[in-house]
Amino acid sequence: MTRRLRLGLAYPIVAFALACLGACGNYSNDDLEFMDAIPAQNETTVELPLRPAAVLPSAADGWRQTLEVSRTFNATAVGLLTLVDRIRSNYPTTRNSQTRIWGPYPAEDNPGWQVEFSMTKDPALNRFEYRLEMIPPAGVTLALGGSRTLVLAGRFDTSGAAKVGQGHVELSPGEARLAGVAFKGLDRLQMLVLDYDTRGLAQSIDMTLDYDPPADPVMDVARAAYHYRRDQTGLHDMQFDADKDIVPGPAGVDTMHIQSRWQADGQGREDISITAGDGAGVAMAAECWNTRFQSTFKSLSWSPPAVGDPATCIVSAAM
Amino acid sequence: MRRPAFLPKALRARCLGGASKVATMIATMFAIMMSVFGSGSARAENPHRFALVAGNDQGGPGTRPLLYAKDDARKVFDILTRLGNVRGEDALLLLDGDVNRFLNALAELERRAAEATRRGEKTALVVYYSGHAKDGALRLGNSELPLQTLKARLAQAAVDVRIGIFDSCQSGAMTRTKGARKAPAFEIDTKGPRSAQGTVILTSSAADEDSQESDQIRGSYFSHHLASGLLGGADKSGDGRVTLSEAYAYAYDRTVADTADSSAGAQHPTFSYDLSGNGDLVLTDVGGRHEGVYFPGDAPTGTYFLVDNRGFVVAEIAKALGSDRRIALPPGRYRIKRRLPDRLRVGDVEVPRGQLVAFSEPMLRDTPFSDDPVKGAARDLSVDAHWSIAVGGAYQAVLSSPSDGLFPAATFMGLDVGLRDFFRRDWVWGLDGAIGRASSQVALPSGAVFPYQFGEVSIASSLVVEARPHGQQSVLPRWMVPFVGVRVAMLMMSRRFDDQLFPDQFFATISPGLVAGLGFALGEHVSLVTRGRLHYLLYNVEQTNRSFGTWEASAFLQYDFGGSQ
Repeated sequence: MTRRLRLGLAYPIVAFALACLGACGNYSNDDLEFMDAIPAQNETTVELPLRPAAVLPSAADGWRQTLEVSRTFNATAVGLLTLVDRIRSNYPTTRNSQTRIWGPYPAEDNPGWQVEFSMTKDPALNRFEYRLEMIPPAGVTLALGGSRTLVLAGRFDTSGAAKVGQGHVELSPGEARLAGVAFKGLDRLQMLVLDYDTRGLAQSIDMTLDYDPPADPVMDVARAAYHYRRDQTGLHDMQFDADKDIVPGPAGVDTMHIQSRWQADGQGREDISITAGDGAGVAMAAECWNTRFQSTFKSLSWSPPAVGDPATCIVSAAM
Repeated sequence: MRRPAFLPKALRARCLGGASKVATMIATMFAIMMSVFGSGSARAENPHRFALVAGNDQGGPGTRPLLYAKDDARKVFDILTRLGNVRGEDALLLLDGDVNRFLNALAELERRAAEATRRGEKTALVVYYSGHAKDGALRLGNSELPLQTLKARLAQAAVDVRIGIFDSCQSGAMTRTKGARKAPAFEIDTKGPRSAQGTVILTSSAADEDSQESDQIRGSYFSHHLASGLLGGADKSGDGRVTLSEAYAYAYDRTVADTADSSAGAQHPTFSYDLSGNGDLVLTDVGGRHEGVYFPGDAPTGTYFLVDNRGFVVAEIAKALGSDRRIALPPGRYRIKRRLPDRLRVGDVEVPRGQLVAFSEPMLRDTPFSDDPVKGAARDLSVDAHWSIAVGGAYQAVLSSPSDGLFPAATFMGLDVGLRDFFRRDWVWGLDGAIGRASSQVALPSGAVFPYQFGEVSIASSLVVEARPHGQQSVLPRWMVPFVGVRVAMLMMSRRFDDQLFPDQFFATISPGLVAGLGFALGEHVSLVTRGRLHYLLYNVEQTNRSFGTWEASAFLQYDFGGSQ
């Protein structure tokens, strides 16, 4: 083989090596700290009182309503997390000592808009704070002025284990929606506040949703609040308050309170009452169900007498 | 005569190069009748000569290519046609031919010789072969010609005198029977009433010896000294004619002296002489040429090297005090060197066409050893290039392992491909790939622990220099080959977290490093390679760049397509 041919082979090899001298990747331990502070779906959703194999057509109305409330709650939480899912599935684009920035990325379903997510670490407090902001396209003016609108803000206080700590998230899509951004599943939502706590074996999630004033108070809620707890024994407690015009009268909006509790084996109960408004103290209902979700006791204040045996309600009315 | 300052830098055996042999001391046999050679040769009738000269660098499977077999053949062909009274049309030069071509060429010369015989001419056939031999057969590329078959074929050739010269390993097998001798010279019957008839066979080594090449003289020892002798160096009688016995004696002495200290063992040329009649044959007529360099009797004694303008040593002449030498060289410019204990004497001489230039000591000047015109091989060695492949396993770890489990220790399976003797002799350009894995975990400052599966793929290129003895004295045995080199690796690392808590992470970088190790020959082609690597790894994903050193230990089983020896 000639010398020229040998040199001809050697040059591309050297050139390739020189071209590849840079290193790249997202292989980072520090990033994990930040990403660990972003809420995940299993931390902000409720474990449903559902065992598919046990579902019967004759399931109790209370169980069905509990399931519906829980699903609504989860859907709302998932809708919230969709905003940060892209963050969770990508690594930062900018790294500073105590800061990570993702994006800006093009906002899905909102052409021209961009999304930027930033996190800051406070090592002294073991706290991570994050913000999700949307950057409008040229020519779009924001109601509060500025070059970007804050859509989501949150913090997470770590407590020494993976995904264990206290989190607080505020979603405020109002300004962005006014500027033309479409948020799937979050119509009329002005503010969503989510608090969650994953320390220890228990779990708690509180979520409050404030909506734009409803055009039809009979059909739409003005405010909703969820309070979910799961204790160490596996007992679930979901309380749901909704402001809605349920009972016609001068007060207008009533506050309906639903409290559901269920055990790990499926047994549970639901208590419904109107705590404020024209229907306050007027309507109350309670129902218990067994492990097959069949009604064992049912009491409606507006339709006596009660059906079933109240002794079958092994889950107490209060945690 | 020993010339320790001219020990070869690299030797190459014209066979497999198996285990080194301790040179056996030859029996003292100096019943030489040199004084009568001149008259004998003068009286001999000059036969019509035919010559088949073959050189083959390739010896087929199980052999490493030679570097100079064809050069030796060209050199002998030139001497025979220029000085050996062989007409150009009666000589055939066969380079890298196979057995069929060799036998066909031989048959063609036999046919021509038969025609000459029918015309009433005396005939002689010279067959010279330079190349590999193994297991009792010449190896012409991938084809084999058993030595005994060739010997029988020569014996049947319809010529008066047959001269076979074989420069190959264990070629002494040709002379093993019928009066074979491993001796400095042979007796010639010069008193016979008629022209010689019969067969003479010269071999470069005994039946159990290797024949060796030298990078420094760029040829085999035997052919080099035979050629030097045929050019006039062997003309001990000073009659201007180099006879067969003179050439053999000259080549024998110097071949044994040059190879005595080689790890491959001393090489002893042999002869088989079966001539009747006036058996001394003039091989070259250097006196009739009147072209070359003449060393008068009063020129200082010593060994003179005549180097042509390409750097090739065309002749190595042992000059005794009081004797003159006439070296028949073609026109051209030559450098003459004589080595003294503390310096060199070097000078240039121009040989015009048809003129014999007389050497005189003032033509030389003192020169430091660093300016030695005989510097060894500078030729393209790419003919020797061949591949090797290796598979094995490795263990890799970070020298100062980061406590947070950034890069865990991992085990690897790898494949290496080497292109050997491509850029230079004993240089190995390697491409290797490996895939490895490990289970580890990240422990964050918060106390959170995340288990993950680590994977790494590396693709690398290395340039390694092996320290093969090549016949030189070596501290290590021949089956142990140390090597050292540099390597550049493209590392692609990734990790997958258990339960997919986080998306997969990856990191790719170029990592330069050093490699060193030992190869242990397990067989002709197979060796066990143990290797250590040290690499630098720049980690620049996070804000502050970090530098890591990684080490790797590995063991590979290697197959060398050109032979591991």
